[in-house]
Amino acid sequence: MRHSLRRGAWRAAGYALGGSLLAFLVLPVVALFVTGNPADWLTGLRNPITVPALVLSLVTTALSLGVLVAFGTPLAWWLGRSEARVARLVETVVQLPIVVPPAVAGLALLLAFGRRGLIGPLLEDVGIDIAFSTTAVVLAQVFVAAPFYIQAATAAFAGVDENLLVVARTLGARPATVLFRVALPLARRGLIAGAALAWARALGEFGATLMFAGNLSGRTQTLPLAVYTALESDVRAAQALAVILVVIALGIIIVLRPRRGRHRR
Amino acid sequence: MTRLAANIAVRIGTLDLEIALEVDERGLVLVGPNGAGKTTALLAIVGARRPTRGRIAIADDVLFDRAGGIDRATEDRGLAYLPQDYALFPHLTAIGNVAFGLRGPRAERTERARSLLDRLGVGSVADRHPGGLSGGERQRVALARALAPSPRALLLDEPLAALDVESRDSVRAFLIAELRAQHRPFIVIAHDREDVRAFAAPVAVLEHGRVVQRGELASLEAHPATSFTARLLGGRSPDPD
Repeated sequence: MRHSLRRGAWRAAGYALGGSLLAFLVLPVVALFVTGNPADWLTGLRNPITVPALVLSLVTTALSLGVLVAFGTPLAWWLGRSEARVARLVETVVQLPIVVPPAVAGLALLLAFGRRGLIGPLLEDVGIDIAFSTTAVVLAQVFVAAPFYIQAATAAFAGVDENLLVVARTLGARPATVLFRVALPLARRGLIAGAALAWARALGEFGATLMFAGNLSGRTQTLPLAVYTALESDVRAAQALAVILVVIALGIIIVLRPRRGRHRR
Repeated sequence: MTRLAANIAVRIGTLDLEIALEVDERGLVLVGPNGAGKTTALLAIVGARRPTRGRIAIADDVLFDRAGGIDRATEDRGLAYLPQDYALFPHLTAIGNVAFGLRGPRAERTERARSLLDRLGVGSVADRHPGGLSGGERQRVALARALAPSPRALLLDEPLAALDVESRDSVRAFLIAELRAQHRPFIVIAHDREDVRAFAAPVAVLEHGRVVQRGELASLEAHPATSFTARLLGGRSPDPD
């Protein structure tokens, strides 16, 4: 009797603690929607900074995702298949952008690629000036989003049974064929999940972009920067932009929601 | 008679493998305790593990020769490999699995794959994914897939281990009949007394990376060299050396 009473108390405390955190997580998002009305948002959307920011965000995140998939997939393949100690070291290095504060990342990018940076002068000699350009926006996004894609892709590739790859080779398939017809289809789910997370991270990128690319309308002012800028003059515009970002984020979560595996073994 | 010969050394982690195997159409049953290097030996022969020295050849064709600088890619060795869990491609149907190793126009490949599945008695599951197949069906599909590109030899890693007791006998009889009908060299790893006897082929015993005994089944049964062989084949304790 006393036992079950105590258990009930623990359970109630658990619900209270977990429920409070849940409410805390949901409340701000709810506030974003209920404190404004669609008419206000439409007015906000007509703010001259909205459309350029939206377009710039879509273009730059598409580019950074493309770069990330093109360069990150081979790296993840190696990380996922190699048993070398250096691979584990690289895996750790790749996670660095997750723990580095975005503002620090922006400063670091500036010190590397800026006009007076580590390789900035070299780039300038060949006529490339990265800092405070749209290229800088893409680089900042790639930097902060890379770990999310590479981690997920590495795990996906590591999960492909080696025997499948060996058998495919014995059946006459070249390594590239094995990659495209066996490894990629089997890792597909993990690759897509990683790409979606990386895209969301790139879309939300603020600190590194501000430091490294600045806040120039039409060139480097992405949606999060536009939210920040609009807040100073037009809260409705800021809120409208924020709603766009949240709707996109919710879309990603729905796409990524856990599903049962299609391939049973 | 085609002959597959491998005389190789492989070192991976703590495993130090040094073996010389020779197999013709009569086949070879490879036995040995866990960790003896049986699977590694097969992987080295198909080219998925690189030997530190040695030579692998089938008939007059050299697949690997460390000293001669020959190391043919797995896809160019023409050897079939059947892992313990069969490793069917889970994202392809049975027919897609079999057609994977075939070349030529799509319709032709599908037709050949279908006729192979039919011949092995699994034509009715051609359009199913491996996840929906029984153990015996999986083995037949895997065998059809392995045979599809007309391999020069077959390497099978415990092909009967994944089966339940009820289907084991019939699947074993089928597999052995099929292997005999192929007239190709084959190496099969087995760990069960019944299986070893049923294959009725020469036996090689691998322990700690070395072949400790080889020969006809009857002579191994009569004179087991180690306690492992004695236990595996039943009864008699090893001859004192």
